[in-house]
Amino acid sequence: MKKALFALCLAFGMLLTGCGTTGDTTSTASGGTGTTNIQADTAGFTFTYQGHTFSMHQKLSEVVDAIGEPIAKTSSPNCAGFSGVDWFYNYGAFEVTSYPVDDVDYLSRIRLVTDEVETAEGIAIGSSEADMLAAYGTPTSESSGLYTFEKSRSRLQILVKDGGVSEIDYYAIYD
Amino acid sequence: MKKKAILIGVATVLLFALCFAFLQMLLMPKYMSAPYLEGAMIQEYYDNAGGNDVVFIGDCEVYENFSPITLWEEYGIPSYIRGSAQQYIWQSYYLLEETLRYETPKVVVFNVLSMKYDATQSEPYNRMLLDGMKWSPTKVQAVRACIEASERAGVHETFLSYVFPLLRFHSRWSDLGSDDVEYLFSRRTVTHNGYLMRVDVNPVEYIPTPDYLAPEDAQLPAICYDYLDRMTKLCQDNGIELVLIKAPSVLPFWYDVWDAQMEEYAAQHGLAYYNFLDEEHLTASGIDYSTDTYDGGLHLNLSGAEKMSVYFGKILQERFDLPDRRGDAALAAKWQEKADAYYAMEADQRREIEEYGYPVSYALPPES
Repeated sequence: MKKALFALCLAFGMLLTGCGTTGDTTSTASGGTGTTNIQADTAGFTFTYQGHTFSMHQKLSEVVDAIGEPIAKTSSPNCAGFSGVDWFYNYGAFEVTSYPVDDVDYLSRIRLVTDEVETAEGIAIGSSEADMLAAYGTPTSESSGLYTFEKSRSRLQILVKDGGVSEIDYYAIYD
Repeated sequence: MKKKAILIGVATVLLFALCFAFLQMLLMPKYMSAPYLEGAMIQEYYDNAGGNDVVFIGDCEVYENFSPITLWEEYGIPSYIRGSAQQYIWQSYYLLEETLRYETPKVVVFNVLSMKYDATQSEPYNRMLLDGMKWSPTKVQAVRACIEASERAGVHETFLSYVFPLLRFHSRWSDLGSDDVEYLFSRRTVTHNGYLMRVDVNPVEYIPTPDYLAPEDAQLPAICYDYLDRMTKLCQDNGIELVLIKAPSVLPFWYDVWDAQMEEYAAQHGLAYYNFLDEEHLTASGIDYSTDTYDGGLHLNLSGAEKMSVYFGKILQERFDLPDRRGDAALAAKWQEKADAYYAMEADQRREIEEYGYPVSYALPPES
């Protein structure tokens, strides 16, 4: 009987402490590398505003520290909202989107909205297709006027309509 | 001696089973506090099953945006919202199949946002739905479908962990709280026939520009169409009107190209489809994004849900000839109890907002 009870206690002890899976209901983050060691992709496509340079996977808080709070912001959580939210920050001439990992928000997208700002290579909304291709060279892919360039862990997508640049987006590439 | 050994063996096994069952009850999440209230929703249905003329199926865009109490009070339409957090379309199909074991509504309303997801986005959503379902052949299929969907997302789950949830939640012992003891043997009701109430107001200030959707990415996934076909057939086979909707939530983005696909599908299958983001519906329903949302337009608050229900209830009743059952004394008494609980919760939330600035028992503090 004592042996049976000992075996029982051992079994439950192993059950409660073993297996290595997370037991709580909080999920891992949506997107991102799923680790806490996320480095800004300074080797990828970068965006400079008011003398500050931003790159994909950079902490959202560093953007705010550098250029202040956005004009407006909103978030898009999942339904229950417990696994973090994606933030959308509106800075007027451009928008920033983030993804959460372990309660820290990292840049997942920068969208240039007006021609008041430009990429590090000098391309803005309204730039010609020729100037854009001269700046970036051969794209990774092109489809229906959407040019995609990849560099390190970032992607630059430029939409061309009627010979001119109409949309510019930086995106983070996840591992 | 042999008899004694057998008795000890049986006693040990029984003791193990009892301890296992108790630990499982203790360590499984109870979903009785924000932000996890959604986890309690699925199992609440079983005490309210039957007698519903309308059943809503889908994610938070149904369980936050429509009020069954309003549908009853305005039109005498008994309804239930079988919603769950980020419900995927394969989950919706199996929930619908399960619902039809308990009742046959006249109308099923399905929110089409989930057509964009072809794989599990987050494993806890599977748990929040599946752990609340009663075991049946349908649940077995649902678990398998969810495991396959998780594999598509690169997340490995096991069937056994759904049979014995303790295998999934065993390490929660370090996260146990007062809810785990208080709600060990019973749960309190968190919804009103599936509607999850929020009365606070956080207006839409900014709607981000949507990502560009390349033509090759515009087609909704084939697996989602497969489940939509199955849902359509299930309703047809049971004489149920299936109604497709897109709720008036401003995010996640609902692209025109997806909307066109749903319009085409509805036309091909003789279904009604309502995109409540369309200006005509927003104007006619009176939805005001400055007063009718509690999170910047992602979900409607009580004011918005009631407006949507007044608007959509009229459509449902007229188009599908739904009877007004307010004259049924027994039913009216049952719904009066539900309404009493509904208004009591509304009062409680408003009191907490007055005292704390937000409904502390129902939500996390507002994001800074």
